[in-house]
Amino acid sequence: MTNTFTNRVGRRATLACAVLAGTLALAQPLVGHSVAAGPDPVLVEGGRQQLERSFDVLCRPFASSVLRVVAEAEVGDARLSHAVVVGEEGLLLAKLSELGSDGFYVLAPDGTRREATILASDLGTDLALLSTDDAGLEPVAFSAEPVDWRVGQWIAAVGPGGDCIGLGAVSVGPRDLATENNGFLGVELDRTVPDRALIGRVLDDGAAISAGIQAGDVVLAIDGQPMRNSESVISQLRRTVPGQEVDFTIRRGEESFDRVVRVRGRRLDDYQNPFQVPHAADSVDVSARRDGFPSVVQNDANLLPSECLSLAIDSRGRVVGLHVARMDRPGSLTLPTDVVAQRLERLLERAERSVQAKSLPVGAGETRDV
Amino acid sequence: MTRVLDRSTPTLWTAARVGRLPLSLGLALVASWAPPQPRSNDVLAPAILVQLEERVVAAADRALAATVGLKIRENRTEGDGSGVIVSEDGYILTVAHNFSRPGTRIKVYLPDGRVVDGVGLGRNERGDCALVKIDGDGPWPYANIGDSDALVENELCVMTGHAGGIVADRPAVVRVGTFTDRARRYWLQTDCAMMPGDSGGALFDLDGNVVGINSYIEQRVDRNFHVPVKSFLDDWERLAASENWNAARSRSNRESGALGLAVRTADGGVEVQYVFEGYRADEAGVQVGDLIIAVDGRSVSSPSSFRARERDLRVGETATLTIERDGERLEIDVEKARREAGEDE
Repeated sequence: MTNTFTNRVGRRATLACAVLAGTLALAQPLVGHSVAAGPDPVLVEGGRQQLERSFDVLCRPFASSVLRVVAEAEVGDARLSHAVVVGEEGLLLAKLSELGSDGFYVLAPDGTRREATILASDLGTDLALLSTDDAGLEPVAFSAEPVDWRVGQWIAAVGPGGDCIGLGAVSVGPRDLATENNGFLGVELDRTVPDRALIGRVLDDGAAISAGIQAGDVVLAIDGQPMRNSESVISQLRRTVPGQEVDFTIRRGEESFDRVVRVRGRRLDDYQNPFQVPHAADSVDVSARRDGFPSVVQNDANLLPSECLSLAIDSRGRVVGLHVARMDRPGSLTLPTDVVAQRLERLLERAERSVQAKSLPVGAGETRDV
Repeated sequence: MTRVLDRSTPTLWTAARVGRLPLSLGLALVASWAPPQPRSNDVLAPAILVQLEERVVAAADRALAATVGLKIRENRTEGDGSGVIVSEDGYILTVAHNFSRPGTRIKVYLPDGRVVDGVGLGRNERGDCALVKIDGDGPWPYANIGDSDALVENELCVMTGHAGGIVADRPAVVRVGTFTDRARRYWLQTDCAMMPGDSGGALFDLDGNVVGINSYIEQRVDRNFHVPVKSFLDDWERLAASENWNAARSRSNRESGALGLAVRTADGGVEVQYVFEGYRADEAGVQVGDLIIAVDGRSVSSPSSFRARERDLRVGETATLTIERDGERLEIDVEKARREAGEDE
């Protein structure tokens, strides 16, 4: 049986070799508009870079539709997110979990620095609806019509200025991704104390420190739910997603008070297992919020977390969705256009209601469907 | 509900959980490589992009039809890998580092959702080639074997594998990239990004023929290495006869514990963010807030370069950390910890 198989494989390999050789002989170098494609193009003479440059042409029309969101405090890399113009009057979508709580501004395509405010947010898709000055901005339309996704099809990411900042192919068709990476407060709980939730240490760049939570504080309640010990805090936090606003009731000494904290995501740098040298695959920067989406298309675009959201277009220059997260070494995630259209409609309604109400209570305009 | 990875406890070091035998770490060749320079500044006509895309989509379809997940339980640990069926009677190409002994029983996850039994046959450890046979004669879905010698630089290719491990209701994950180089005259290099779980998955040409098997990665996302399929054909008789040869030196030295530090990006080095209590760095007096400038005289510029240096250390070896603390420069010797018994791997 082994011999037969070897022969069969041998024949097949020879045949495949002949087919491939034929293909290569026919394939012209694929350069410029004038060259007619051979019957079976398999080569791109300039490699991935040439492919990405070719997609630049398709990205250009959106040059006035993608902006940068930058942190107010310029320490380290201040780029937080990209934002996509989605409506007249300067309405933008940005990545909620990347906005932080220390203030941000947007950088328009003409280089001007503009104030922006959050009108409403959608925890399910990690989208924040922002408002800014609309001078020179061009809104993108998101079709409510579902895309007929094909595995292997290209999706380009449009960055600020209409550049192709990443080219991916569809790796897995639309699916829901359950929450695996929950919100992260940035504290260590003292688990030696059995009868209360005592904060032992506050990490110096987590959400807790920004909110003024200190070592020695006791967590009495989260979102009104009483916390009996460390375990109950941990299980409550597991139900949150990065970017979510959580109301902590804290006791410090004699007094108690409430603090609203926008919980963050954990990144690799936050904690490492001392027994395990991280795998080379873990050296890629991933988005703090990279799961818990109702419907996403996985693709292999090599995007930085701060390059999400960016606009996703197909090989014909059509808008197919928003790149919403870097997931892991080989993968980024894209919200399909029909999902964006549906969520955007809800966000606009909610923003309108908030404006009518004139007062914005904490957490107003947040929705979550899990 | 779809789960990305079966992580029962929140962890960040997924490789340890997903793969008992993750993609091996490529450490060589870092210095000798320069990114491929484009030889053309022209852009491809939109019509050509669409035409290429059609070929890629067709190849991805054929690739997915033959890609399988492999669940391997050996020595009380379980790991996920990938493979590709290349014959109607169920021979699967995979990598040697997915299992350690011929005769190992393996669960094969087919693209149509069926889970069938199979057995590990021969393995060439140094060449990272192995063969698995599904029990029973099939017919099983399969892909044809192509010609790995015929690959040309910048040829488009499709890659499949169960990235991150086998996930319920998720098919194998497709990547599209280009063939960029041959490393050390043997391995095929592409920019198809892989991660643990992809090991043993396949690289296909645009006719949907198998040309390589996923083996290892280096840190850069565009540096992924595949065993040329020719190696399997050259040694087919030995692989099919369950021979086990070219056993490499134990890798246990490299893959053991770390210094016990968490670090983050900082100007001029990496800043110590956390010192794990009771580990070597702690015992040696490394403190939170220390700025690590160099390890054994080699500078570190990012958490990843720090980890790369850390990875290069062997068990019991002592590393000298050059540290800046309160404006002063210190040298601290830290011994690399031994892995505790019962840990992963």
